[in-house]
Amino acid sequence: MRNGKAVRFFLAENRAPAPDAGKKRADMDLFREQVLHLPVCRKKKIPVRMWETAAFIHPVSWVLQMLFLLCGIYWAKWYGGKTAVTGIAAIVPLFTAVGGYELSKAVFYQMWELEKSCRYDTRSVAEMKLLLFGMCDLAALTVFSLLVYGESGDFLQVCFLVLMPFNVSSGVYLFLLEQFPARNGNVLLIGAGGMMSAVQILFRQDWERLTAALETAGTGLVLAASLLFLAGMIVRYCREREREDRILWNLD
Amino acid sequence: MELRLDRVTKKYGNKLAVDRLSTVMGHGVYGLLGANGAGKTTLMRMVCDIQTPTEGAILLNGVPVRDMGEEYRDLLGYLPQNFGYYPDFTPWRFMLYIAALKGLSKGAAKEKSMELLKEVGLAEVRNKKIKTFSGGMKQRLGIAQAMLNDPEILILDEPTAGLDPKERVRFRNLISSMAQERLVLLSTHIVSDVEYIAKKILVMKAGQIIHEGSTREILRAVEGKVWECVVPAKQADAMAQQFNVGNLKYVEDGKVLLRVIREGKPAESAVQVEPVLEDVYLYYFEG
Amino acid sequence: MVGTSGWAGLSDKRLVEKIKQGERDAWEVLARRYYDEIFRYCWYRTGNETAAADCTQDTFLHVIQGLAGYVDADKFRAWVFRIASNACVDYFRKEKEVCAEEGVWTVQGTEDRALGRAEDACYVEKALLALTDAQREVVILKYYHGFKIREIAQLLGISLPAAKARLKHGMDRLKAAAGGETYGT
Repeated sequence: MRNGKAVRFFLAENRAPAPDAGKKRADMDLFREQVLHLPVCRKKKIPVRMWETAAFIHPVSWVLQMLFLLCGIYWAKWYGGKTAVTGIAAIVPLFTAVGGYELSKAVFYQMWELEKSCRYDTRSVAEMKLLLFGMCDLAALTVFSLLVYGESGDFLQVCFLVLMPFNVSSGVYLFLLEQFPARNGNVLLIGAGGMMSAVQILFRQDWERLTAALETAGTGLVLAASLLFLAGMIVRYCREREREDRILWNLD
Repeated sequence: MELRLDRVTKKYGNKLAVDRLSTVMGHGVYGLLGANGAGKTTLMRMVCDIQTPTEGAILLNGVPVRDMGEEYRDLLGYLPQNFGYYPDFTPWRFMLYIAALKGLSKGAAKEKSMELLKEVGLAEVRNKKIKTFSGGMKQRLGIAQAMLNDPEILILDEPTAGLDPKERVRFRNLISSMAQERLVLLSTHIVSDVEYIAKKILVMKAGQIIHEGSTREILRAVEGKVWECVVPAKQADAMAQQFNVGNLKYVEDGKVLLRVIREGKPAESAVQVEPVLEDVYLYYFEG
Repeated sequence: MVGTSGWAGLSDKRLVEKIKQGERDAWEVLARRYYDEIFRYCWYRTGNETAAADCTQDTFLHVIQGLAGYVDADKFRAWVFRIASNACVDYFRKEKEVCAEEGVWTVQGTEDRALGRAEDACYVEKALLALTDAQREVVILKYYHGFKIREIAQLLGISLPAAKARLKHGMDRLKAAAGGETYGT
């Protein structure tokens, strides 16, 4: 280290000059021009894409989701027992409708054509929204399931009143959005959501009788079927984003 | 850079929207002239890979654009004939949204959006809701978003619709300056949009290109067929019914100056005049 | 430039990311960060300002070319120095060719260096010149640019023992040259 210091002092006598200012300026201009020709990397990682998608979702959608979730929690805490379970069962289809509305916007507001010509096209946008709302829905689903289980102590009720209706209602919304792309998404979803909500309430009144025959295996089958239905609707919806004929109703 | 359309066809059931269309394009402005229903929008959508040809292929430098996928869309800028916007959007938010879809990072999106909004004169109103905008303002926004990713291929479907004459001139200059290093394909009814800036005009009718060439070459098709005559108003009315009349101007003494496109003289007093692109349009689409 | 003042604090890695994503102004920050240092490095290696300026320009042009494919942005500084090292080697090769052609052989422009320098500085330069290029390179990177010996080995693409050996031999020669002068203790 002594020697190192000595060498350092020795070498310090020989100081390099500063670069010529004019040449430096000219070089910087040259580099700036060269950099303009660099290809731009447009690939984005999925978390970035999800964050960006979330940033452009209307705040009302987030508020509505929060509202439904809080309603469910409030209902459970305030009423308890069967009323609580019925309430949550009714809310589940409405909760999932919010995501559906976001999905329908591209066509309804005529943004689909612009979006389709971009790197991350309508299919990619739909996938991101599904992922985003899927995650939120799953979180809410967990909360609702815990609440129902807490009030009823019955896992079967959780399956039939929360999990299965979630799958079915989500699948139904996707089906409707795909089948009637030009229609007002709001109307479709509210209509369908309202109906399914009502069905849930009726189902809850009589659910013991309706599900008496089904044991664990039967329940498992019903749940699996509903999951398959949802998965199928998701795949179909995403794939259909690439087909243009459905949404081209104004031919040139 | 070469964009080749090879016998591109688009069928909707029995209807043939685009019929075995072949052409080659490179850098420069290409004007697509045609009436409604000629297949212009369908063609442009296929070039943008929004619709797939039923037959034929579109190739960029020899590679089918279908195979290129998102790499091809990276090179594109598209302004559709009708485009919407999400209800809460301001121009700023709109630009950032499209920029995100085009793969720009947040910083690059902000930089480019500001630059383009200034260029089209919307920087001052960038935080006002788009629903308060006039048609012309919306169109300017559309042109701005098409340029976000610095596209090599710019497809503009009726871009001057809703623009006033001053804006149209500004737009023409903008396109002219941009076309040096890109391919600009623009469809229009308004002939003056492309008359002076287009490298090539493509005249499209019933899904086919019936004539293509420089403005001068296109004009040759109607050489010797354009006449001007001054006639009394009543006769003008009759002639307008009978012939392909381009322009009608009231001059003194209740007389009318008519511009007629016709094989032979429409009236004794008619004189032959130099054709302009507008005449070509009428010749093909009104005759 | 739009708001680049806040970028001075960003890491090399972050700046490279920004450049790749199309924020070209980030390049300005990165170039200014390294320009002077690379110039000094090239000057220590080549011994004259003209050559140093040319090598510096060369270095940055190669950096720009290589940016698109560059992935390990954590070691950006080392990467730039590696390119600079290659630029200097290219310069020497060209000089040798020129000298050999002209039938003149100078020891890497000592004449240029000798002009207008302080006596002490000149002495140090001569001492540095007494080293082999391989030794000199390691000494320059360690004592003028603060690289650790491990980093130097990676940068030059040689083994750690080899780098240490070059440094040791270089140091010994410099010590001998510095002997008789009171530089610290």
